[in-house]
Amino acid sequence: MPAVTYSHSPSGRYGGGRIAHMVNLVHADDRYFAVLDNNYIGSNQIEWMTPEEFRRSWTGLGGGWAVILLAAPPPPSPTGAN
Amino acid sequence: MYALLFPLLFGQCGPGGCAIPPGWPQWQPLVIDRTDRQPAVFDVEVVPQDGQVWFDSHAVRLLGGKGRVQTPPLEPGRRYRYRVTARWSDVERAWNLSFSPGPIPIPVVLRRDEPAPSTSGSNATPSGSSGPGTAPASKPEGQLPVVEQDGVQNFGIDRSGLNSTAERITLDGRQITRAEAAQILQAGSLADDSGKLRLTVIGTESDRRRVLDDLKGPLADIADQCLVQDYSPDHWAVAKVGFYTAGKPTIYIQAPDGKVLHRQDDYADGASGLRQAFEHVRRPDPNYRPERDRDLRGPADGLLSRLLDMLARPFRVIFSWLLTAGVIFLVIVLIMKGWLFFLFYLLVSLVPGPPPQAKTAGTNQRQPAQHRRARPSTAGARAKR
Repeated sequence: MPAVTYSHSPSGRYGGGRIAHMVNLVHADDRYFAVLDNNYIGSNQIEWMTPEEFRRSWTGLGGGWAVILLAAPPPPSPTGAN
Repeated sequence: MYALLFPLLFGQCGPGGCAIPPGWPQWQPLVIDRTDRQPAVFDVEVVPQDGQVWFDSHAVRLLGGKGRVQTPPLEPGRRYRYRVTARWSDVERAWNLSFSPGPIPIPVVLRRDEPAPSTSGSNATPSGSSGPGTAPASKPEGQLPVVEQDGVQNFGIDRSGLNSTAERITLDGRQITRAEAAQILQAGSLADDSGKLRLTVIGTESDRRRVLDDLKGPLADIADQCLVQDYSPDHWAVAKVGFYTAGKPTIYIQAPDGKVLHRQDDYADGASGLRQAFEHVRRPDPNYRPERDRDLRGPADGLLSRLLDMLARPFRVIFSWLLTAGVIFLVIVLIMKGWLFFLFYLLVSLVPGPPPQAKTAGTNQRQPAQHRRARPSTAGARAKR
Protein backbone atom coordinates (compact mmCIF):
# COMPACT_ATOMS: atom_id res chain seq x y z
CA MET A 1 0.00 0.00 0.00
CA PRO A 2 1.61 3.28 -1.05
CA ALA A 3 1.95 6.23 1.25
CA VAL A 4 1.51 9.42 -0.72
CA THR A 5 1.80 13.13 -0.18
CA TYR A 6 -1.45 14.95 0.36
CA SER A 7 -1.79 18.71 -0.01
CA HIS A 8 -5.49 19.28 0.43
CA SER A 9 -8.68 17.38 1.11
CA PRO A 10 -11.13 17.31 -1.79
CA SER A 11 -13.95 16.73 0.69
CA GLY A 12 -13.06 19.81 2.74
CA ARG A 13 -11.20 18.41 5.70
CA TYR A 14 -8.66 20.60 7.50
CA GLY A 15 -10.90 23.56 6.92
CA GLY A 16 -10.38 23.22 3.21
CA GLY A 17 -6.88 24.65 3.59
CA ARG A 18 -3.56 23.55 2.23
CA ILE A 19 -1.63 21.03 4.21
CA ALA A 20 1.62 19.13 3.90
CA HIS A 21 0.82 15.61 4.92
CA MET A 22 1.13 11.96 3.91
CA VAL A 23 -1.72 9.47 3.77
CA ASN A 24 -2.28 5.88 2.77
CA LEU A 25 -3.56 5.26 -0.73
CA VAL A 26 -5.83 2.28 -0.12
CA HIS A 27 -7.47 2.10 -3.53
CA ALA A 28 -6.81 3.30 -7.05
CA ASP A 29 -8.45 2.52 -10.35
CA ASP A 30 -9.46 4.38 -13.47
CA ARG A 31 -12.44 5.97 -11.78
CA TYR A 32 -11.72 6.38 -8.10
CA PHE A 33 -8.86 6.87 -5.69
CA ALA A 34 -9.26 6.44 -1.93
CA VAL A 35 -7.05 7.62 0.89
CA LEU A 36 -6.93 6.78 4.58
CA ASP A 37 -5.77 9.65 6.75
CA ASN A 38 -4.36 8.99 10.23
CA ASN A 39 -6.22 12.06 11.43
CA TYR A 40 -9.50 10.54 10.22
CA ILE A 41 -9.25 6.89 11.09
CA GLY A 42 -11.93 4.27 10.62
CA SER A 43 -13.36 2.26 7.78
CA ASN A 44 -16.10 4.86 7.34
CA GLN A 45 -13.58 7.66 7.03
CA ILE A 46 -12.08 6.64 3.71
CA GLU A 47 -11.97 9.66 1.46
CA TRP A 48 -12.91 8.89 -2.14
CA MET A 49 -11.96 11.13 -5.00
CA THR A 50 -11.50 11.16 -8.72
CA PRO A 51 -8.08 10.50 -10.25
CA GLU A 52 -7.76 14.16 -11.12
CA GLU A 53 -8.60 15.26 -7.58
CA PHE A 54 -6.01 12.84 -6.31
CA ARG A 55 -3.37 14.09 -8.71
CA ARG A 56 -3.98 17.66 -7.59
CA SER A 57 -3.74 16.73 -3.93
CA TRP A 58 -0.74 14.48 -4.46
CA THR A 59 1.35 17.00 -6.33
CA GLY A 60 -0.11 20.16 -4.84
CA LEU A 61 3.06 20.96 -2.94
CA GLY A 62 5.11 21.17 -6.12
CA GLY A 63 5.67 17.44 -6.48
CA GLY A 64 4.65 14.19 -4.90
CA TRP A 65 6.12 11.31 -3.03
CA ALA A 66 4.90 7.73 -3.18
CA VAL A 67 6.58 5.49 -0.66
CA ILE A 68 6.10 1.73 -0.83
CA LEU A 69 7.41 -0.47 1.96
CA LEU A 70 8.61 -3.73 0.52
CA ALA A 71 9.09 -5.37 3.92
CA ALA A 72 6.29 -7.11 5.76
CA PRO A 73 4.53 -5.15 8.47
CA PRO A 74 5.10 -5.93 12.15
CA PRO A 75 2.90 -8.61 13.67
CA PRO A 76 -0.55 -7.55 14.81
CA SER A 77 -1.04 -6.85 18.47
CA PRO A 78 -1.82 -10.10 20.29
CA THR A 79 -5.46 -10.64 21.11
CA GLY A 80 -7.75 -13.34 22.37
CA ALA A 81 -5.08 -15.72 23.56
CA ASN A 82 -6.30 -19.28 23.88
CA MET B 1 16.70 -4.05 9.57
CA TYR B 2 14.57 -5.70 6.99
CA ALA B 3 12.90 -2.52 5.95
CA LEU B 4 13.35 -1.69 2.32
CA LEU B 5 12.19 1.78 1.71
CA PHE B 6 11.10 2.42 -1.81
CA PRO B 7 10.38 6.04 -2.35
CA LEU B 8 8.93 6.81 -5.72
CA LEU B 9 9.57 10.47 -5.95
CA PHE B 10 7.81 12.78 -8.26
CA GLY B 11 9.73 15.87 -7.46
CA GLN B 12 13.16 17.27 -7.02
CA CYS B 13 15.43 16.01 -4.29
CA GLY B 14 18.22 17.75 -2.57
CA PRO B 15 21.86 16.97 -3.20
CA GLY B 16 21.81 14.42 -0.43
CA GLY B 17 19.03 12.48 -2.07
CA CYS B 18 15.32 12.40 -1.56
CA ALA B 19 14.87 12.74 2.13
CA ILE B 20 12.02 10.97 3.79
CA PRO B 21 10.84 13.21 6.58
CA PRO B 22 12.59 11.97 9.69
CA GLY B 23 9.42 12.00 11.69
CA TRP B 24 7.48 9.89 9.22
CA PRO B 25 5.48 7.79 9.80
CA GLN B 26 4.08 8.94 13.09
CA TRP B 27 0.59 9.30 14.34
CA GLN B 28 -0.18 12.94 14.38
CA PRO B 29 -2.72 14.57 16.63
CA LEU B 30 -6.21 15.00 15.39
CA VAL B 31 -6.63 18.59 14.27
CA ILE B 32 -9.90 20.13 15.32
CA ASP B 33 -10.77 23.61 14.27
CA ARG B 34 -12.51 25.47 17.06
CA THR B 35 -13.24 29.13 17.10
CA ASP B 36 -12.02 29.63 20.66
CA ARG B 37 -8.61 28.35 19.76
CA GLN B 38 -5.82 30.51 18.53
CA PRO B 39 -2.42 29.86 17.06
CA ALA B 40 0.91 30.73 18.50
CA VAL B 41 3.32 32.68 16.33
CA PHE B 42 7.08 32.67 16.67
CA ASP B 43 9.33 35.23 15.07
CA VAL B 44 12.54 33.30 14.71
CA GLU B 45 15.96 34.83 14.23
CA VAL B 46 19.31 33.07 14.03
CA VAL B 47 22.61 34.77 14.72
CA PRO B 48 24.76 34.44 12.63
CA GLN B 49 22.36 34.35 9.73
CA ASP B 50 23.73 31.22 8.08
CA GLY B 51 22.11 28.94 10.61
CA GLN B 52 19.29 26.51 9.90
CA VAL B 53 16.36 26.00 12.27
CA TRP B 54 13.92 23.18 12.89
CA PHE B 55 10.80 23.15 15.05
CA ASP B 56 10.57 19.47 15.83
CA SER B 57 11.19 17.96 12.40
CA HIS B 58 9.91 20.95 10.44
CA ALA B 59 12.53 23.07 8.79
CA VAL B 60 11.87 26.78 9.18
CA ARG B 61 12.24 28.87 6.07
CA LEU B 62 14.56 31.75 6.83
CA LEU B 63 15.25 34.84 4.84
CA GLY B 64 18.21 36.83 6.03
CA GLY B 65 18.32 34.75 9.19
CA LYS B 66 14.69 35.53 10.05
CA GLY B 67 11.49 33.56 9.69
CA ARG B 68 8.07 33.04 11.21
CA VAL B 69 6.48 29.88 12.54
CA GLN B 70 2.78 29.62 13.19
CA THR B 71 1.09 26.73 14.92
CA PRO B 72 -2.42 25.50 14.20
CA PRO B 73 -5.17 26.82 16.46
CA LEU B 74 -4.38 25.69 19.99
CA GLU B 75 -6.29 25.57 23.23
CA PRO B 76 -5.80 28.76 25.26
CA GLY B 77 -4.16 28.37 28.62
CA ARG B 78 -2.62 25.03 27.81
CA ARG B 79 1.10 24.66 27.46
CA TYR B 80 2.69 23.09 24.43
CA ARG B 81 6.24 22.25 23.55
CA TYR B 82 8.51 22.23 20.55
CA ARG B 83 11.98 20.87 20.21
CA VAL B 84 13.88 23.67 18.54
CA THR B 85 17.13 22.85 16.79
CA ALA B 86 19.54 25.32 15.26
CA ARG B 87 22.51 24.25 13.23
CA TRP B 88 25.45 26.23 11.97
CA SER B 89 28.40 24.90 10.05
CA ASP B 90 30.21 23.75 13.17
CA VAL B 91 27.69 23.89 15.98
CA GLU B 92 24.29 22.41 16.61
CA ARG B 93 22.12 23.43 19.52
CA ALA B 94 18.74 22.14 20.64
CA TRP B 95 16.20 23.44 23.13
CA ASN B 96 12.75 22.62 24.42
CA LEU B 97 10.52 25.61 23.86
CA SER B 98 7.50 25.54 26.12
CA PHE B 99 4.75 28.03 25.38
CA SER B 100 1.09 28.90 25.57
CA PRO B 101 -0.76 30.24 22.54
CA GLY B 102 -1.44 33.93 22.55
CA PRO B 103 -2.20 36.82 20.22
CA ILE B 104 1.27 38.33 20.40
CA PRO B 105 4.10 36.86 18.29
CA ILE B 106 6.86 35.35 20.39
CA PRO B 107 10.37 36.41 19.40
CA VAL B 108 12.85 33.55 19.49
CA VAL B 109 16.48 34.53 18.93
CA LEU B 110 18.86 31.63 18.48
CA ARG B 111 22.46 32.68 18.90
CA ARG B 112 25.32 30.48 17.93
CA ASP B 113 27.41 31.55 20.92
CA GLU B 114 24.70 31.34 23.57
CA PRO B 115 23.56 28.04 25.01
CA ALA B 116 19.93 29.13 25.42
CA PRO B 117 17.69 31.08 23.10
CA SER B 118 16.37 34.41 24.22
CA THR B 119 12.65 34.86 24.23
CA SER B 120 10.45 37.66 25.42
CA GLY B 121 6.95 37.50 26.72
CA SER B 122 5.57 35.48 29.55
CA ASN B 123 4.09 32.72 27.45
CA ALA B 124 7.33 31.12 26.25
CA THR B 125 10.04 29.36 28.22
CA PRO B 126 13.17 27.93 26.66
CA SER B 127 14.99 25.10 28.33
CA GLY B 128 17.23 22.24 27.42
CA SER B 129 20.76 21.42 26.52
CA SER B 130 23.09 22.58 23.85
CA GLY B 131 26.69 22.25 22.99
CA PRO B 132 29.29 22.70 20.36
CA GLY B 133 30.14 20.11 17.81
CA THR B 134 28.22 18.26 15.18
CA ALA B 135 26.08 16.04 17.32
CA PRO B 136 23.25 14.34 15.48
CA ALA B 137 19.95 16.12 15.51
CA SER B 138 17.66 15.18 18.34
CA LYS B 139 14.93 12.73 17.61
CA PRO B 140 11.87 14.70 16.54
CA GLU B 141 9.11 14.64 19.08
CA GLY B 142 6.46 15.57 16.59
CA GLN B 143 3.79 16.87 18.92
CA LEU B 144 2.36 19.60 16.76
CA PRO B 145 1.91 20.42 13.11
CA VAL B 146 3.30 23.73 12.03
CA VAL B 147 1.53 26.34 9.96
CA GLU B 148 4.14 27.72 7.65
CA GLN B 149 4.41 31.22 6.28
CA ASP B 150 2.45 30.41 3.14
CA GLY B 151 -0.40 29.07 5.24
CA VAL B 152 0.33 25.38 4.70
CA GLN B 153 -0.28 23.30 7.78
CA ASN B 154 2.70 20.98 7.80
CA PHE B 155 2.44 17.58 9.47
CA GLY B 156 6.07 16.69 8.95
CA ILE B 157 6.90 16.98 5.28
CA ASP B 158 10.30 18.28 4.25
CA ARG B 159 8.97 20.45 1.47
CA SER B 160 12.41 21.21 0.09
CA GLY B 161 12.27 17.84 -1.64
CA LEU B 162 9.04 18.65 -3.47
CA ASN B 163 9.86 21.53 -5.76
CA SER B 164 10.52 20.06 -9.16
CA THR B 165 8.83 17.98 -11.81
CA ALA B 166 11.65 15.51 -12.44
CA GLU B 167 10.76 11.96 -11.59
CA ARG B 168 13.18 10.08 -9.44
CA ILE B 169 12.83 6.50 -8.20
CA THR B 170 15.01 5.13 -5.45
CA LEU B 171 15.35 1.85 -3.61
CA ASP B 172 16.96 2.21 -0.20
CA GLY B 173 18.27 5.57 -1.34
CA ARG B 174 19.79 4.17 -4.54
CA GLN B 175 18.35 5.53 -7.75
CA ILE B 176 16.85 2.89 -10.04
CA THR B 177 15.10 2.97 -13.38
CA ARG B 178 11.38 2.79 -13.91
CA ALA B 179 11.77 -0.66 -15.45
CA GLU B 180 13.60 -1.90 -12.37
CA ALA B 181 10.89 -0.46 -10.17
CA ALA B 182 8.20 -2.20 -12.18
CA GLN B 183 10.09 -5.46 -11.96
CA ILE B 184 10.43 -5.18 -8.19
CA LEU B 185 6.78 -4.34 -7.72
CA GLN B 186 5.71 -7.30 -9.83
CA ALA B 187 8.11 -9.74 -8.21
CA GLY B 188 7.19 -12.32 -5.65
CA SER B 189 8.46 -10.17 -2.83
CA LEU B 190 5.19 -8.27 -2.99
CA ALA B 191 2.99 -11.37 -2.92
CA ASP B 192 -0.09 -11.05 -0.78
CA ASP B 193 0.85 -12.58 2.54
CA SER B 194 -2.01 -11.06 4.50
CA GLY B 195 -3.65 -14.45 5.00
CA LYS B 196 -0.61 -16.21 6.38
CA LEU B 197 -0.09 -17.11 9.99
CA ARG B 198 2.35 -14.85 11.84
CA LEU B 199 5.29 -16.58 13.45
CA THR B 200 7.20 -14.09 15.55
CA VAL B 201 10.37 -14.81 17.49
CA ILE B 202 11.28 -12.37 20.26
CA GLY B 203 14.53 -12.65 22.15
CA THR B 204 18.22 -12.08 22.13
CA GLU B 205 20.18 -12.49 18.96
CA SER B 206 21.51 -15.91 19.95
CA ASP B 207 18.13 -17.18 21.12
CA ARG B 208 16.45 -16.03 17.93
CA ARG B 209 19.19 -17.48 15.81
CA ARG B 210 18.50 -21.03 16.99
CA VAL B 211 14.87 -20.78 15.90
CA LEU B 212 15.60 -19.02 12.64
CA ASP B 213 18.20 -21.59 11.68
CA ASP B 214 15.68 -24.36 12.24
CA LEU B 215 13.09 -22.48 10.23
CA LYS B 216 15.53 -22.49 7.34
CA GLY B 217 16.28 -26.17 7.88
CA PRO B 218 14.04 -28.83 9.38
CA LEU B 219 11.14 -26.42 9.85
CA ALA B 220 11.30 -24.89 6.38
CA ASP B 221 7.87 -26.24 5.51
CA ILE B 222 6.43 -24.39 8.49
CA ALA B 223 8.24 -21.21 7.54
CA ASP B 224 6.66 -21.39 4.09
CA GLN B 225 3.22 -21.32 5.65
CA CYS B 226 3.95 -18.38 7.93
CA LEU B 227 5.14 -14.83 7.85
CA VAL B 228 8.27 -15.19 9.95
CA GLN B 229 9.72 -12.18 11.75
CA ASP B 230 12.09 -11.79 14.65
CA TYR B 231 12.71 -8.92 17.02
CA SER B 232 14.76 -8.02 20.01
CA PRO B 233 12.65 -7.58 23.16
CA ASP B 234 12.96 -3.81 23.08
CA HIS B 235 12.00 -3.41 19.44
CA TRP B 236 9.14 -0.98 18.91
CA ALA B 237 7.16 -3.52 16.94
CA VAL B 238 6.69 -5.73 20.01
CA ALA B 239 7.81 -3.81 23.08
CA LYS B 240 4.72 -1.77 23.91
CA VAL B 241 1.90 -3.41 22.04
CA GLY B 242 1.14 -6.29 24.37
CA PHE B 243 3.67 -8.94 23.41
CA TYR B 244 5.34 -10.96 26.13
CA THR B 245 9.01 -10.40 25.47
CA ALA B 246 10.84 -12.09 28.37
CA GLY B 247 11.07 -15.58 26.87
CA LYS B 248 14.26 -17.28 25.82
CA PRO B 249 13.01 -16.75 23.21
CA THR B 250 9.30 -16.08 23.06
CA ILE B 251 7.67 -17.58 20.00
CA TYR B 252 4.23 -16.48 18.91
CA ILE B 253 2.00 -18.03 16.28
CA GLN B 254 -0.87 -15.69 15.50
CA ALA B 255 -3.77 -15.64 13.15
CA PRO B 256 -3.69 -12.75 10.69
CA ASP B 257 -6.14 -10.84 12.89
CA GLY B 258 -3.79 -11.04 15.87
CA LYS B 259 -5.41 -13.89 17.75
CA VAL B 260 -2.73 -15.85 19.56
CA LEU B 261 -2.84 -19.49 18.52
CA HIS B 262 0.30 -20.57 20.29
CA ARG B 263 2.99 -19.08 22.47
CA GLN B 264 6.05 -20.63 24.01
CA ASP B 265 8.66 -18.91 26.10
CA ASP B 266 11.56 -21.23 25.53
CA TYR B 267 13.01 -23.41 22.85
CA ALA B 268 14.16 -26.23 25.08
CA ASP B 269 12.55 -28.92 22.97
CA GLY B 270 13.88 -27.44 19.79
CA ALA B 271 12.41 -27.97 16.37
CA SER B 272 10.33 -30.98 17.35
CA GLY B 273 8.44 -29.03 19.99
CA LEU B 274 7.69 -26.18 17.66
CA ARG B 275 6.58 -28.58 14.95
CA GLN B 276 4.27 -30.33 17.38
CA ALA B 277 2.74 -27.01 18.38
CA PHE B 278 2.32 -25.95 14.78
CA GLU B 279 0.66 -29.20 13.81
CA HIS B 280 -1.68 -28.75 16.74
CA VAL B 281 -2.54 -25.29 15.45
CA ARG B 282 -3.22 -26.68 11.99
CA ARG B 283 -5.13 -29.75 13.18
CA PRO B 284 -8.38 -30.49 11.33
CA ASP B 285 -11.56 -29.07 12.74
CA PRO B 286 -13.29 -31.94 14.55
CA ASN B 287 -16.67 -30.46 13.69
CA TYR B 288 -16.01 -30.39 9.98
CA ARG B 289 -18.24 -32.76 7.98
CA PRO B 290 -17.16 -33.06 4.37
CA GLU B 291 -20.46 -34.68 3.45
CA ARG B 292 -22.21 -31.45 4.33
CA ASP B 293 -20.21 -29.45 1.85
CA ARG B 294 -22.40 -27.91 -0.78
CA ASP B 295 -21.72 -28.12 -4.50
CA LEU B 296 -23.17 -24.87 -5.72
CA ARG B 297 -23.05 -25.88 -9.38
CA GLY B 298 -26.12 -28.10 -9.18
CA PRO B 299 -29.72 -26.87 -9.44
CA ALA B 300 -30.51 -28.54 -6.12
CA ASP B 301 -29.20 -25.50 -4.34
CA GLY B 302 -31.48 -23.12 -6.12
CA LEU B 303 -34.02 -21.13 -4.19
CA LEU B 304 -36.96 -23.03 -5.69
CA SER B 305 -35.38 -26.37 -4.95
CA ARG B 306 -34.75 -25.43 -1.38
CA LEU B 307 -38.33 -24.22 -1.03
CA LEU B 308 -39.70 -27.49 -2.40
CA ASP B 309 -37.40 -29.45 -0.16
CA MET B 310 -38.60 -27.53 2.86
CA LEU B 311 -42.25 -28.08 1.94
CA ALA B 312 -41.76 -31.79 1.27
CA ARG B 313 -40.00 -32.46 4.51
CA PRO B 314 -43.20 -32.89 6.63
CA PHE B 315 -44.64 -35.30 4.08
CA ARG B 316 -41.52 -37.40 4.19
CA VAL B 317 -41.78 -37.64 7.97
CA ILE B 318 -45.44 -38.62 7.81
CA PHE B 319 -44.77 -41.20 5.13
CA SER B 320 -41.98 -42.81 7.12
CA TRP B 321 -44.23 -43.10 10.19
CA LEU B 322 -47.04 -44.62 8.10
CA LEU B 323 -44.64 -47.13 6.61
CA THR B 324 -43.42 -48.14 10.04
CA ALA B 325 -46.97 -48.50 11.35
CA GLY B 326 -47.91 -50.64 8.35
CA VAL B 327 -45.07 -53.07 8.94
CA ILE B 328 -45.97 -53.40 12.61
CA PHE B 329 -49.63 -53.95 11.73
CA LEU B 330 -48.71 -56.67 9.27
CA VAL B 331 -46.61 -58.50 11.84
CA ILE B 332 -49.46 -58.34 14.37
CA VAL B 333 -51.93 -59.71 11.84
CA LEU B 334 -49.61 -62.57 10.94
CA ILE B 335 -49.26 -63.47 14.59
CA MET B 336 -52.99 -63.33 15.19
CA LYS B 337 -53.67 -65.49 12.14
CA GLY B 338 -51.23 -68.12 13.35
CA TRP B 339 -48.90 -67.57 10.46
CA LEU B 340 -46.01 -66.82 12.71
CA PHE B 341 -44.28 -70.11 11.94
CA PHE B 342 -44.75 -69.47 8.24
CA LEU B 343 -43.29 -66.02 8.74
CA PHE B 344 -40.22 -67.42 10.45
CA TYR B 345 -39.84 -70.04 7.74
CA LEU B 346 -40.06 -67.32 5.15
CA LEU B 347 -37.42 -65.26 6.91
CA VAL B 348 -35.10 -68.25 7.32
CA SER B 349 -35.45 -69.12 3.67
CA LEU B 350 -34.29 -65.64 2.79
CA VAL B 351 -31.08 -66.07 4.78
CA PRO B 352 -28.38 -67.49 2.49
CA GLY B 353 -27.17 -70.92 3.53
CA PRO B 354 -23.60 -72.17 3.87
CA PRO B 355 -21.65 -72.67 0.65
CA PRO B 356 -22.04 -76.16 -0.89
CA GLN B 357 -19.30 -78.61 -0.04
CA ALA B 358 -16.82 -79.68 -2.66
CA LYS B 359 -18.02 -82.71 -4.55
CA THR B 360 -16.21 -85.37 -6.49
CA ALA B 361 -16.08 -85.33 -10.22
CA GLY B 362 -18.44 -88.33 -10.42
CA THR B 363 -20.99 -86.59 -8.30
CA ASN B 364 -20.76 -83.52 -10.43
CA GLN B 365 -21.34 -85.58 -13.48
CA ARG B 366 -24.45 -87.06 -11.95
CA GLN B 367 -26.02 -83.73 -11.09
CA PRO B 368 -27.17 -82.84 -14.63
CA ALA B 369 -28.76 -86.26 -14.94
CA GLN B 370 -30.80 -85.62 -11.76
CA HIS B 371 -31.95 -82.31 -13.17
CA ARG B 372 -32.84 -83.95 -16.40
CA ARG B 373 -34.91 -86.58 -14.52
CA ALA B 374 -36.75 -83.97 -12.51
CA ARG B 375 -37.88 -81.95 -15.44
CA PRO B 376 -40.09 -84.65 -17.01
CA SER B 377 -41.81 -85.21 -13.66
CA THR B 378 -42.55 -81.54 -13.46
CA ALA B 379 -43.85 -81.57 -16.96
CA GLY B 380 -45.97 -84.58 -16.08
CA ALA B 381 -47.40 -82.77 -13.11
CA ARG B 382 -48.30 -79.87 -15.31
CA ALA B 383 -49.94 -82.29 -17.75
CA LYS B 384 -51.98 -83.80 -14.92
CA ARG B 385 -53.17 -80.35 -13.96
